[in-house]
Amino acid sequence: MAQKSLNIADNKKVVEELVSTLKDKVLDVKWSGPRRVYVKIAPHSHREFIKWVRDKFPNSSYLVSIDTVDFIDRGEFEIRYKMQIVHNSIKLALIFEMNVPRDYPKVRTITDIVPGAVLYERENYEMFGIIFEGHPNLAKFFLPETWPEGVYPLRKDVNILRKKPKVW
Amino acid sequence: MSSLISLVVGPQHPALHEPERFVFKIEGETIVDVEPRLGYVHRGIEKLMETKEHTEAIYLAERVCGICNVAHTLSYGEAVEEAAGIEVPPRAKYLRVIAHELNRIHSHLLLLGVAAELMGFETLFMLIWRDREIVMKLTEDLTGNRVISAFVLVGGVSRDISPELVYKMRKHLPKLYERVKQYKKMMEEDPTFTARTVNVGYLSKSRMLELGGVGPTARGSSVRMDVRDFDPYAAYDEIPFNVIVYDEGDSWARFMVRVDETLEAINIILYALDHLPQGPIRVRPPRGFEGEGFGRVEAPRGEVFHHTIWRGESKPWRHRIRTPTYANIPAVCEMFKGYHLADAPVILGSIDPCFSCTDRLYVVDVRTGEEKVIPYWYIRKKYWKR
Amino acid sequence: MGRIPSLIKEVFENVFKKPATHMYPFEKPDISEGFRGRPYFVWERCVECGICEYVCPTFAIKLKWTNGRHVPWYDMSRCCFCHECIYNCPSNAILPSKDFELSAYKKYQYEGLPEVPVAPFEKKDVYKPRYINIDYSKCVECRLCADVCPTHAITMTIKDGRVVPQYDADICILCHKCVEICPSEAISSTITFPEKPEKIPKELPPSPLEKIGLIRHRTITFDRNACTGCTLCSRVCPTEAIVMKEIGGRLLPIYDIRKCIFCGQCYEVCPVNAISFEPDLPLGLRRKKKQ
Repeated sequence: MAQKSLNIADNKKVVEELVSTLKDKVLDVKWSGPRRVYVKIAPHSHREFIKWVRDKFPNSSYLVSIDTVDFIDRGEFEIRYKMQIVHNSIKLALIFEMNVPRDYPKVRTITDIVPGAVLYERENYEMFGIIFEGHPNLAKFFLPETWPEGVYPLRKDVNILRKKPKVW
Repeated sequence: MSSLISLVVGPQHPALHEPERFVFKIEGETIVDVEPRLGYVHRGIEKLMETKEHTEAIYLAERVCGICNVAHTLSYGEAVEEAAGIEVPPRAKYLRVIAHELNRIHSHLLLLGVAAELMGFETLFMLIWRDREIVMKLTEDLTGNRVISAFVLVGGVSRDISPELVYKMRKHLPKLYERVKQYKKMMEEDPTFTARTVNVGYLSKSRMLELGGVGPTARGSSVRMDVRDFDPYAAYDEIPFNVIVYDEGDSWARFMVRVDETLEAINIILYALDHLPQGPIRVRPPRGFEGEGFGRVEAPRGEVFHHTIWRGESKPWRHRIRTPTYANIPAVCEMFKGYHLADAPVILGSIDPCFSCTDRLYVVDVRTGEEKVIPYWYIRKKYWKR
Repeated sequence: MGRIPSLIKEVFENVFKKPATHMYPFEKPDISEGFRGRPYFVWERCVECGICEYVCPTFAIKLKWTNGRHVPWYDMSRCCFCHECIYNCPSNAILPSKDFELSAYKKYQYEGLPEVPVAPFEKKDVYKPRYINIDYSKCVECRLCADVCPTHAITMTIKDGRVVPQYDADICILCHKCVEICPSEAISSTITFPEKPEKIPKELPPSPLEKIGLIRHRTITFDRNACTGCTLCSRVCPTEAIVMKEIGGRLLPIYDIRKCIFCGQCYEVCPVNAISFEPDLPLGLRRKKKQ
């Protein structure tokens, strides 16, 4: 079928244009298959990248999700913004990875560019403790109201109960 | 004080099938604002996945949602296979497609019946669920159980399909096709159905893209997105199918998208049965590996993805799950505004919600306007008669 | 409205059909052939490999020593009926069935079978090692078996004034690493599982070194009057068995016998010869004097 051909050429052109426009903020580009690309970006530069994608494809791009990974051995959180572009023959998933230090996790919000990011930022705040400045209502979403303050469950230093093996 | 009234709907309410709480602010009969509150079935699955190897974790991933369980196991399997770097045999890919589409048919027929019941149209509800039994029987023959299938494993599938079952599917599925076409005609013409769903809950295409809706909710507002089309997985890069898009943007369009998808799914299964390759059905993955995997599938409700990061041990470092109803919540809150209170169950039913429950009580003090939540142990202690 | 809805025709046809309800408790249910019901265990074919316990995702199968065989016991209240044990069993010792009417008044934990048959490989005169025997009249207390055991089934303990290994059969996976590494060949495997397994026997035979007249160093003593507090012994100790602590205004060494490997570095480095080796354990752990 005609739609099943791999559109590598068009996808590559979009990524090259992105890299040439915001040259100094892109740290690394890695392709994983013909339709997914991981782009490592400089700290606190996420708003420019998301604005570029939304301005270039206003009617055919959307935010998929925002997640966080806790790298406790490197002392930082890695926040990932996933965007998807579906425009005629360009079918590309862009994953922006950004590092944030663990002792000072404050990032600016993107809810003025993408209103649908409200719930993702709330979930990351209650699970990891990352504060999004400028968010209209940063409160707990999934956890109950009786949960203690300051305990962020998905961080690596918070352990759920496990039995340890006995060693002499 | 303004004339706005706060109405709390849920967690237990006869119009809702899943536990969630919506606080509607209404003026007369019209809804002005909505505030949702979820988390009634939060089970901590993301943290629990970090303590399980992949042989156990696939059964945990299956129980995230009972109705779309094939989608969750398929997404988990794709993510771990990409991280481990193994390739699934072609026969297993086609069998996965057959189980996936059977799951989609049963989920869509369930929703159409439930939506008809919400409107009070019980006859249609009973008729659709009687025809759904054909699909449940075929799923039981293929996987061993009606709902929780335990069919997809990391590296392949668990059972093979026999020639008698192929013959049985080819006999029953065309009959189901004719029945669903009848229902489509009923939904287009019936005055009860159209009066309650046409022009109810409208959302435009640009607003839907900004809010991030997925699945049939977005396809009803002329957004052409389908994971099987732009990021094919399993055998979808070899099977031809159409992406269903409706332009009206209201609840009627969202229901019609699901009816048409059911017809497409029957065609996909018949095509896959005709072109089933021979070969093995399972490949064993290694136990500890290093890599990153991103598995996306099109569940009946939208896009599900599982993202795993493995760093050399036999347990993952981080596992992230995103379900489609979570992405549709901002869109549905926008859809409520400006419509009557009696339209609220229909609008909520049109996005096919799938959350779950526990018990909690929400008290509004009318005199002071103060709101607080009371946990269960407090009520029991204070009001339980000894 | 001019058009009659097509539902009316459907309703009219359904008046003359029989109801679609299946009266379950009064009629037999209609189940397919491949339905996933309760698994049944056949111990006559079990080769005691342990694969079913490994693949079960909810820990519903546990291997227990029964009548000398390591056979699977099944807990139905934890089973999720996924049939992984059936797909993976190499000798087809688990049979599928279609039973699902399983409710009861009491919850039975870990059901076994009434009798334990002879293992299928033993019928053909092939025997599997099942228990590890430690001969204490040959043990020279080198502690290598406890270091190399991957599941910590062998641990060192102090008995009769000697530091000897004890064996826990529940955790042992019979990898035979301890058998290979023992320098005096004191450890061997047997094919019969004893009736009453115990971790260490009540009385130990005398140590082989003492029989020949060799001395086995078992503790280190510090002469606190001669110690100057130079901390050299704690710095050269490779396992941190010596730690300096301030007692009464002086820095003195504190010794942990569990970490000491008797390398002799502290003995060599002490400038005032305050460290010496003793052939017996510290005072509280010594064996009682005979007669």
